Amino acid sequence: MSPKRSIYLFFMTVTFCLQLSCNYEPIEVTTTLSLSGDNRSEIEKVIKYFKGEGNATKLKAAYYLIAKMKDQYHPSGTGVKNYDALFRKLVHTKEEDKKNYVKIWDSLKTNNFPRGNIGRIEYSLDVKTTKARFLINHINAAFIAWQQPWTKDLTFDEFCEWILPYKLADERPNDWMDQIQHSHHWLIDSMKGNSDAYKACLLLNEELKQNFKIRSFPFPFDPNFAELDSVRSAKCVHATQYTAYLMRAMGVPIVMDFTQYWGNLNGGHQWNALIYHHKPIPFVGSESDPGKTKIELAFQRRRAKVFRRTFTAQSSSLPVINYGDEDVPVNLNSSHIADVTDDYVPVSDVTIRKSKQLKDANIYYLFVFNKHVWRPIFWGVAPTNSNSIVFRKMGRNILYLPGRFNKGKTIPISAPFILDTDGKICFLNTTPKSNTKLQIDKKSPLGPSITKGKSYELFLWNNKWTSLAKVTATGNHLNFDAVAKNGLYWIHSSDKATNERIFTIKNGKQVWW
Amino acid sequence: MVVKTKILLCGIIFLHVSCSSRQGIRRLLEDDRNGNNHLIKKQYVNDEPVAEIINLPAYTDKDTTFRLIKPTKLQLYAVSELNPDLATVPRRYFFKNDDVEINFGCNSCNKMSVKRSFVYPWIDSTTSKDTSQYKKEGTNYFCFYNKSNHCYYAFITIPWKALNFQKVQQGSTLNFDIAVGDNDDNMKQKAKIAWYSNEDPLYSPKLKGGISFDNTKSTQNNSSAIRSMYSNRPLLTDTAQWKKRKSTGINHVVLGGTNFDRADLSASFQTAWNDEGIYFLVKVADSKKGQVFSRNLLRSSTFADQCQIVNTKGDMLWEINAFYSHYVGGALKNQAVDTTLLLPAGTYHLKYKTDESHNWANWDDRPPNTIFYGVVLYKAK
Repeated sequence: MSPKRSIYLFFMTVTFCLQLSCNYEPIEVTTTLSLSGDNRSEIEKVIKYFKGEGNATKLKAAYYLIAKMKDQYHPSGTGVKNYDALFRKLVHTKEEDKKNYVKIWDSLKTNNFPRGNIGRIEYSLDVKTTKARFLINHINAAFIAWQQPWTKDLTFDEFCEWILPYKLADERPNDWMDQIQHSHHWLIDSMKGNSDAYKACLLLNEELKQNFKIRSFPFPFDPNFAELDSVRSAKCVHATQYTAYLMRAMGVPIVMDFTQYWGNLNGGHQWNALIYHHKPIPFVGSESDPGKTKIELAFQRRRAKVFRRTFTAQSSSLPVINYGDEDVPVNLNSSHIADVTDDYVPVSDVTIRKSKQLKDANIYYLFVFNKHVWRPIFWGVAPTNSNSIVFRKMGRNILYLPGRFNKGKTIPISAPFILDTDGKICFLNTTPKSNTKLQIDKKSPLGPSITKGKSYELFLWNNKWTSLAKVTATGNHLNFDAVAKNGLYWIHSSDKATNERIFTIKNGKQVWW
Repeated sequence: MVVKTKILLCGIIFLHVSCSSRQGIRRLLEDDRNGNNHLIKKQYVNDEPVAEIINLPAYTDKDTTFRLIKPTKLQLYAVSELNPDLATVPRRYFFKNDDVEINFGCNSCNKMSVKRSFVYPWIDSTTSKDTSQYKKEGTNYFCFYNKSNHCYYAFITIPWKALNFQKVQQGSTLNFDIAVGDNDDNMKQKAKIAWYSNEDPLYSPKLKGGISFDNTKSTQNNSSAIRSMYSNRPLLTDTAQWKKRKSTGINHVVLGGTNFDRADLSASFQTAWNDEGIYFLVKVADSKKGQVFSRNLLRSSTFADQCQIVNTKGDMLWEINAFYSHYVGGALKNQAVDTTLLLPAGTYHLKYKTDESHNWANWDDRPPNTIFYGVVLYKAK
């Protein structure tokens, strides 16, 4: 045992004895207990169990989990019950038909429920239903995971964040950790005394590659381990979740990170990261190994913001700071996402001067253009007596639109700007009367070329997308003689429209954003 | 006392200046007391480099200018990160097309005591064309790709004389295996399947499977030898002629192990023989045609961290490329280039651009066994 660890355990024991003598619970635990309703005795049993065991660290871990349970939810209601019945049928899909999971699901829904509606899905507090036996088993299993040679150097706080949580999303709690530890005991033999978490991660991922396939699967709510394990087949996000279950159970500190919207391309991405020497090494569990994958694909994709799913509610998260109870975007409305952008890419704080007419809002957003729409990517708060809004840790070399969000709509508060690779801000203050020439070759950097005979529409951003011209291509280029200088453009046609990207003009050519 | 202090200070400053006068690669080479430098040849160790960019952090784009007053031969050393995609397969699979590989051996034959392999890459001048036909080493290959079912049909004729035989005797057996390689990114084969072996038969010294030549109607194979049935007439490119022939699956994965996806690649083959030679029809279900073009070979994205020499007009004169790099220890993606190039007199930009990960002191896998990461140019000796 390391001296650091011995000292830590000594202090834990002293704290524990003091706690026993005073016999009080931490305030956060008391709060959770007050929310537990009829289930209070079950939660108290957990505390009593670990007090009785006399292990101060385990008691502290139990307090941690119980304290953080106050805002942990899981799906419930008729919709969930009905889904379970259909899920049992889906599980028995033949291997060759699994690529059609979504179609099979649609047909099951239609055949079993009027208008295919499986019923209402509600969300219930975990603390109102979770049984003592489940939490006790989980905590004990997590401590077994912490004892692995590649895990034991984690501090208590790291252990709480990366190993201990009993769930990874808003799934229904179920036993997974001790089950995985039994089925994956082979890892301990395979490691042959090696204490490298990187190697443990590679070995587990090799097994995952054989046993889990990334493809579409109809989960109307976050699946739990049992559900994922019975299909071993789901989307990227669920592959990262299944990977995290497997690896955390075996003591490998794994997180689930994601970028909701690329800064310069359409779509987004989810991935796992192995926390190794306090740095995240990204990979996609069941698909690629840490150190053998590039999230940005050699400069093709850029990340404006990277979030990490966390068990602990984040004090700087949007729901927590939304004290004015403003309408906030659904994609950012989670207290269990932490901003880890600066762990991955160079970032800059962006300060935007608040316009005079906007006095009523506290929360503003930066938007990126993704799949034809401005998508809110991060928030900034305007203090009451301040004229400026600060957006922290924004990814560079990306074009942003500052604005407000109201009833699902984007309300720009200034011109869009480019945050360049050095962190400098350059606003696109469009000059309408200009003789700027423009040659359009493509609809997107990776997309199709302009095709002779097809119709295209050119838009300019002027606080909204304004149509400048509708033209039919007479060759493989479209040429415009007098367009606005320093403008933001979008060329649109009905074919392969999902790939379209916005662009500025430099020396008459398209520069993609 | 004051004078002494001044002398001491001057001494410290002098020592500091002399110690720090050599920086960059020269300093690293001087400090390399343990002899970790295996890349830069000894004759350059004490030379002042013409230009260098080394040990950059992530997301850095550096450009340094150098001038040559006369045509100069330069020695270039560069260490960079091969695209992880390429690094996942051994180098021998780089720059190989979708292909069919037929291997023969004969332990008891004087004329063919060593293995003989015929490799038939899908060769096509454009990506849109769907047929390929050529003669190779005395054999004939014709293949078409059916876009509707994503399937190759390869018809291969191997005359006996291509195997140094006049003809084979009925009932005789040759060592044999057949394999199909799959290229999906126009850069490398990422998967390969073989009929008999669990190792790539192209690179195995001995073939474990066999092919026997028979004219009976039995279509039963024994466990280790496929039976090729006699045919009175040559079986060429008419699929109807092949309908009655038994089809055998090519199922053993020899490359692409854990990532192998049967929906992406599967294959079967039929065979027949006569006094002229041996015939094969190989059906390959492959979701994507893949072949290597020169533009793929030289594209910059073979390396995640990019290194270039550019002239003042912006023309790229040299770029790091997997085609001529070699492994330098640690993770397979750690690659170095050790080459010379002759440049006319002029001004040049040496550029090095790092991406998101695996850079100096920021490794996401095992680091290279080199004392630097980047590029160094010397006047060649």
